[in-house]
Amino acid sequence: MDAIYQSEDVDGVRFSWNVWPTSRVEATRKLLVPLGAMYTPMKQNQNTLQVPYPPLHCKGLCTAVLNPFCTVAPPYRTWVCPFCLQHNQFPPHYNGCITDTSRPSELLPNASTIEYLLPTKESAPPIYLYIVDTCLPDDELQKLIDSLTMSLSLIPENSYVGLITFGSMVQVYELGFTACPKSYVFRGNSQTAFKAATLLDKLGAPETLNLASKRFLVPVGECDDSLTTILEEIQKDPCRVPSDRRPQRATGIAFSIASSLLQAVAEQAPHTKLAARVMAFIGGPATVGVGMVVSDDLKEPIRSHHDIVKNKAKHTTKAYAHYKSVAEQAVAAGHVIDIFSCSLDQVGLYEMREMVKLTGGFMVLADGFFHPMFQQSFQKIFSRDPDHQLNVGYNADIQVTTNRYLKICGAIGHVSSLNVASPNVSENEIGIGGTSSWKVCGLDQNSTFAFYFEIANQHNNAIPVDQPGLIQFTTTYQNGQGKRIMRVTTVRREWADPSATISTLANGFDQETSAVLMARLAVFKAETEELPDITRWLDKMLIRLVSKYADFRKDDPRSFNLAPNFAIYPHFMFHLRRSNFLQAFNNSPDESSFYRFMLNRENVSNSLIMIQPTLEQYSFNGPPAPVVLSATSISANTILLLDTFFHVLIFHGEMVAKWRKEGYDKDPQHQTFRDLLAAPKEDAKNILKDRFPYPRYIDCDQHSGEARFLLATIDPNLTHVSNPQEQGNGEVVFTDDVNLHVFLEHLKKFAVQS
Amino acid sequence: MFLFDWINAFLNWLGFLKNEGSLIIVGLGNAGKTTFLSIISHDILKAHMPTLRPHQDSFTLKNIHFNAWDLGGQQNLRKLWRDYVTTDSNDIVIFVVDSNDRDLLGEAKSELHDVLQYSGSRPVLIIGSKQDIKSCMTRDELIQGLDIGDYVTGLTTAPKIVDVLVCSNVTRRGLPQIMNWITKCFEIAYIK
Repeated sequence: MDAIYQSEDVDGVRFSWNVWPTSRVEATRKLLVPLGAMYTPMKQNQNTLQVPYPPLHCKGLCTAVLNPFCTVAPPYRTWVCPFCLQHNQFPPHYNGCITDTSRPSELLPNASTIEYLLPTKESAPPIYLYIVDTCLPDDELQKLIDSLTMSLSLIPENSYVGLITFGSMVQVYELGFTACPKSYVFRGNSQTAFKAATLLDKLGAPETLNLASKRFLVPVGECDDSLTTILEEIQKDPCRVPSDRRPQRATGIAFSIASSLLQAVAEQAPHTKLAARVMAFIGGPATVGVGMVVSDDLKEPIRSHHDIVKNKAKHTTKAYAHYKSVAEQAVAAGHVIDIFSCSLDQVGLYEMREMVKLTGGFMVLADGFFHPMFQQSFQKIFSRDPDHQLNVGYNADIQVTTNRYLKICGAIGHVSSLNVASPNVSENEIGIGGTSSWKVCGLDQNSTFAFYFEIANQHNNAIPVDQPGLIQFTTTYQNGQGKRIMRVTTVRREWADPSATISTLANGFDQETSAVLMARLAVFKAETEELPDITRWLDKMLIRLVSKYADFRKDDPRSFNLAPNFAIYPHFMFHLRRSNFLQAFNNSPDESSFYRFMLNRENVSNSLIMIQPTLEQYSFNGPPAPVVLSATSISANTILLLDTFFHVLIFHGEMVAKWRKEGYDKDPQHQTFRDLLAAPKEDAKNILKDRFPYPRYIDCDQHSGEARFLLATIDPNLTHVSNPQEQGNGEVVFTDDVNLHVFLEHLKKFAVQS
Repeated sequence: MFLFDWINAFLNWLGFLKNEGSLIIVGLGNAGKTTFLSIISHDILKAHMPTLRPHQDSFTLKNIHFNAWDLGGQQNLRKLWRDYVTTDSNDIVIFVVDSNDRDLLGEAKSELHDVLQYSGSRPVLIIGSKQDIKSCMTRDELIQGLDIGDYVTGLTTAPKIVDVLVCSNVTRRGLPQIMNWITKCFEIAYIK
């Protein structure tokens, strides 16, 4: 495992299998979790090599970048590409750099990941375009405006900002006109999306829409006073709302106009790539015009999971198509869309999700604009790294190169296809496939993408010993300062000797990455398939995997044994089946969309927290220690800290709560008790500090209503039907659900069946 | 009998015989609303997280197809109840009360009286949950504690049907009566 973690640390890459079978037949028979990689292109490591010159590309079809696995032999005039075996000449300025004892940086063994600074003209710093919902209650609107005003001081001074507000109508503010607040107003009930051309008609000559004219988009350093005034004067939507109606929100048109405005600006500067973020602050569902998700009549309830499955959601298909077309427009121009959905009811995230997914934006789901889940998350977007830079990437593309023994099936994550059908693209599509390059409009340090591969080599074709298993990930992006960076990561894994036993493959199995790759696949399937079918598929795959890799005598479940690097995998699957990702009950479509979105964004360790939350115990009998996520871990005189990624919960056992209520923590004699109460709070604070989006923080006692966040998450190994003698130890959960033990017993039974 | 069921099922499938109703389930947090919905719609007892955004499920009882909305009961979520209670005209409102929580009975009472007001002529069924716990309040104690003696009509065609039933989601005791009540009530109030 150490080697796996180390490779993740250096390269930001982890594979489900670290030793690969040499033929397609072997792979289908033995890789019962797909061969895949989790790749984090902006993974930070202080030791990553950075060089100020452009890379050398292979002149063959693969276009791979020169890397430490290339063969370079005296007299050092050429290099052999390990992907396509093409011989390439070094350009003249490399002459002399390469000798028996010296190599240029990109050939050094520690250059498996290297960043090139590309010599392009610096592009303008990113544009921030705010879309603000004005159909909010007064106090909410005020909180939102406070947050937006605050953000103006966090945006880099030379960044451009723009403002669009919407309610029953959409207003585009001309921030460059400083004499008084001036805006263009558009009807909200239009049934067709805005085209950039129509927008130009209304806003004036195209040449006044470039960045230099500073009309709608103005550097924040030049307009923060006037923009602050405008923000302060934003009024609640004037349209009167009768008590049996919803407010009129033209969300669809607002997005359409924002996207068209940015497209128009981009067209004025065809030779540079503009980096832009549309940040939408939404407090309720779209009710008028194209993109509406529910009518403004309260008699019509918003669609549920049930309506969607039964195809009875009246507006969903149309709305989804509208927002998807906005998403495609944004992807074509390279713009990111973020959505801050802040409401106690649904706002239509389910319909709008593609705008964030396809562009790699941020999605935040909070109870309101007053809530820390919004305020802290929003602020965190502008937090700087130790060098005072915003650590984000724009306009990225990711290219994956493999040698001819491997093919790429596809990617799952917040990417869109660039439709590059190179020879190493497989016909067997997994996720977003049919291409070897993907576009990502917005990246940050956590953005992680799952790539799926297959072994393409034929059975009788022996792979020469000098051709290792190689994959190269090349990500080119524009950083927060407008510089273009190319990050090249080349990773090598061993081939399994065809004559070796299955244990060679087994030793290379990474159960954590495998669980996450399977979870992403399951969530991808959830877009089109019914949830019970997906659960059955997961079960089937799990049974096949363990019956291949476990040690047992046929038809004897008691003899069943899994090696340590497989042993927890069934636990992950148990929790995944029960999770919010695959259970729709007690979740609205908006909530499910958000949970699935986050799983598709995070790296292996964060995704594992989402799949199988962590539980830490604090007691008088020693330092804090992780405990099993089960009902028997609950006890009256300890405190638990639960982290589900989305919730951070402190749970005081009955006795601890009682002592606290009786004021023992205020008694000077009980310093240890005070320390016990403080320890989980301190740890929770550290989790909250680093987590994005800011999770729901809950501080509760045993038997309280909020304790249900814990009871619904744990393995119910103690229920109302358990033996009463066992019930003394832990907390009884009222459920008919199977517990982990029963699940594993069934798994063993099926696995050993002949 | 088999033939009769089959014809019924067939007609149902064709869309005849079918009535659509909706249930709006409200009540304070941790009263057992989501568990109740899970049992009547799927017959599965589970531990649920507190409900945040309203969610819906559906089930069929005696040829009546019910869409049931389960609304969160925490303080800040209660302002949503009114929007959902006043939507459809074929609504039955279900107010779930934890029969063991004497401390919160006063709060439940004031919320319930609000619901009784704005639900207009819609039937309201008050369900006392968690009857498996020994110290729980009985139906009469609930009526008294919630101060709804004047409202309770039972299943009649009075201007507004209001009734109280008790159940345990864990043992399923009282649930058949509740389902029976719901269909009867629907027939009385909306089919006639």
